[in-house]
Amino acid sequence: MVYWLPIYTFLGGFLLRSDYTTAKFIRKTRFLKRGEQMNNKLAETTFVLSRVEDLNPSERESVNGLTAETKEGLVVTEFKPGSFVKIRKFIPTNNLFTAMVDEQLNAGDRENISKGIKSSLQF
Amino acid sequence: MTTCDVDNHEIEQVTHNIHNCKTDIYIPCITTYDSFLGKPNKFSFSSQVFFEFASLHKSKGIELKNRKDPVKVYRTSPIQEVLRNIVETEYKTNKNNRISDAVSLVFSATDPPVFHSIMSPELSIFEKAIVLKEYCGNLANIIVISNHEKIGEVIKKAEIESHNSLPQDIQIMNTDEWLEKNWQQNNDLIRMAINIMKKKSLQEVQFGNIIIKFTTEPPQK
Repeated sequence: MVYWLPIYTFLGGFLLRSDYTTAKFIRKTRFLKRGEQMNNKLAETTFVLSRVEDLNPSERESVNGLTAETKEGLVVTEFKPGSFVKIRKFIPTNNLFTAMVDEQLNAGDRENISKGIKSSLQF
Repeated sequence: MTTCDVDNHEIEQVTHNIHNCKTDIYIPCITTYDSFLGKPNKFSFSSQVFFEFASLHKSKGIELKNRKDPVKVYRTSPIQEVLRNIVETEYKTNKNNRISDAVSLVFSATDPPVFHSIMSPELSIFEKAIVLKEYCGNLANIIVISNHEKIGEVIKKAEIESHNSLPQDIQIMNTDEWLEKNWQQNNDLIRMAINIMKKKSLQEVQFGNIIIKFTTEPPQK
């Protein structure tokens, strides 16, 4: 009987492993489905503005392009949709928050925004 | 106006935020957002300066909760809904995230709406101005910023809806007037305006009676 033990262990391990694989597969397909659903929803990015002088040392370190000597300017923290990852960007005082908005929009986007706003006006 | 849903806690937050010091509360109309985010019009430059100014004070407000911030910019709930609808429609039809990001950035420069209402985006600014004035009294200067062509008609309608005349101390001005009025007193505005001109390679801008020109000639005495 003892001779059969390694074989039982091997078979048991194999079954467990396949179970695990199946579970992983099911989980993966579930996530895929959820991912597809997410794709059809609006993925919203969140931005938070703060001033350089208000950041603590560890926050300062995580900002690209910000040196220890920098005392003025804005930092935009961007929270990507579906992620806890924060991206911090430095906007020097000679740069502008509104320029970031300008970079996002082309003429067609602006046209669509104006059209949407006009249709909401009552006067 | 009966359609307004005022949460006492939210109002308490507003009054707490003004820190018992004299505060300017700006309530931009949807037309101000249009001048900044929509097709360029005659108010685009001053609207850009206005939102730049809002972002500067918002960034102070978030990080420095204990510091007295003399400026607050609130957006109203119907404006938020209008812009969100545009974002969602654009995403559904064109899978375009650019408008969503731009709107999200503009929202980051303003404070969230203090209370909800189902009034039209134009009327709701007056509704909120009246309520905020009532709660904040002399501690807050309420300034409605609107680039609406028919602002007179909107005010009349708001007065009919509220069965009341608009309090005299609520100021209503467009972004050009706002910039012209504050130009001399505020160095931040001068810095922002010049930076925007440089960024956009603008040689000349005009708002109200003020013309700013980039020139190599010495100023005339």
